[in-house]
Amino acid sequence: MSKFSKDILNKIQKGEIKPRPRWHFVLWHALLWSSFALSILVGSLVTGMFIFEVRSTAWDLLPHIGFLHILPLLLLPLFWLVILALMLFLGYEAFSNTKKGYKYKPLLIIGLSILISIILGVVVFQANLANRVDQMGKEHFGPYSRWNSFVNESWVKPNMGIIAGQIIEINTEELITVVDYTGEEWYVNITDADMSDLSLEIGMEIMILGRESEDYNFEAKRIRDADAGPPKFLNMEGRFHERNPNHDV
Amino acid sequence: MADLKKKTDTEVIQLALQNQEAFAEIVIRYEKKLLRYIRRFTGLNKESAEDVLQEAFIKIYRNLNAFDQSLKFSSWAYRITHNEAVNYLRKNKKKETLSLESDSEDETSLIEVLRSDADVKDEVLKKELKKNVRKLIHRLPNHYREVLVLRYLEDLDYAEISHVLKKPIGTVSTLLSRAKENFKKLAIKNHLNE
Repeated sequence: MSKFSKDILNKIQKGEIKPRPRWHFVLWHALLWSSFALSILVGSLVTGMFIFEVRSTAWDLLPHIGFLHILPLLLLPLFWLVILALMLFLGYEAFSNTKKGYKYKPLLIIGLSILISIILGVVVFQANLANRVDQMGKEHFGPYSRWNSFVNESWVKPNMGIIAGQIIEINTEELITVVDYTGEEWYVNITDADMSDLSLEIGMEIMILGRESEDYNFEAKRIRDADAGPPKFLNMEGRFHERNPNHDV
Repeated sequence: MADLKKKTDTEVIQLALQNQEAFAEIVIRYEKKLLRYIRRFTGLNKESAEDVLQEAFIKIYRNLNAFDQSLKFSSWAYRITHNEAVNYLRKNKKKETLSLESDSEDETSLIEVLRSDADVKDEVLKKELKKNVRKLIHRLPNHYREVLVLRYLEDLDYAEISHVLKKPIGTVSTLLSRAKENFKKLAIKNHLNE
């Protein structure tokens, strides 16, 4: 035995160094795989939420509320994208540290993770899970609920010709009462309103373009469902109604 | 313990898990090889390289249960040693010195890389060239130096290098090709191919 080997054995013996037990490594790898799976699952949910937010935003009405008010509305979709990026990073780190993870190129791992997240994200959206998470967030998570109130209130700009809220009364064929998202009541004249095929019902949430004729009186030029939102490619059949089952488009 | 010499690395590791003495056999088998690698890769003098190697062997011992028996033990040992050497370089950036004393003759394989550009017949010139190759290789960035040393001086194949550096084989291949290019450029710049 060489002096070097003896020195190492002495150091091992004096330091009472022992091989780490096998279960440490088994547990470590189980943690890595669990983290990878969890990051994909959370990433999918986040993708579903992103689709949901994009689908829920009234893109066609954004120009009516002014540039400064548009930016905050885009923060939530952006927030989901940041969380998705974080999940992709965590997933990549976990996978690349598994026993054979290093054999795959980072681009392949991240690309596949994105693909899986998108596919499962669409499933999450289609299965109405994103809507449920949104509802749960509004009911049980204060900051999320406040954020949603803020987003809704951003659509109430009567001086810019737009209000949004819920129909509380259909007074006549020409007049409805709407309580906007800030809590104010409006008498809305719908005589000249372009509603496409929208059939108004009490409880329905709508967005109204037009002008304020006098205090809390609004003349509608166009009325749209508050939950509908382009782009059309995400306007998936069937989902449109599920956010607000009380009405038809 | 006498028949340890006849056993495979994996068998010795199994024994070392029960009996520390058996680990000495692993040290004996890999001591020279890994020490040479540390010196080639880091340019450290013998004493410092031995310190790095000692830490590497202790890590190997501590992590014996993590060794994946479907892979070659030597690649795994190289990986741990390489990481330890990189850590050392990181911690001792300012103290890093290039040791020009060398006990190896293996720079010949790196000279082969230059062979298309140079035809060295004279033995004295060859010796000088080897010394210069050693100097030159340490002027390359770490990521080029490590692949060149592993491929041409340690004679590892692409799969083994991939395992040591924890990089995909394709990346190893690209790195190696760029490393060779850079090495040649540096050689031309330093008139090593004349």
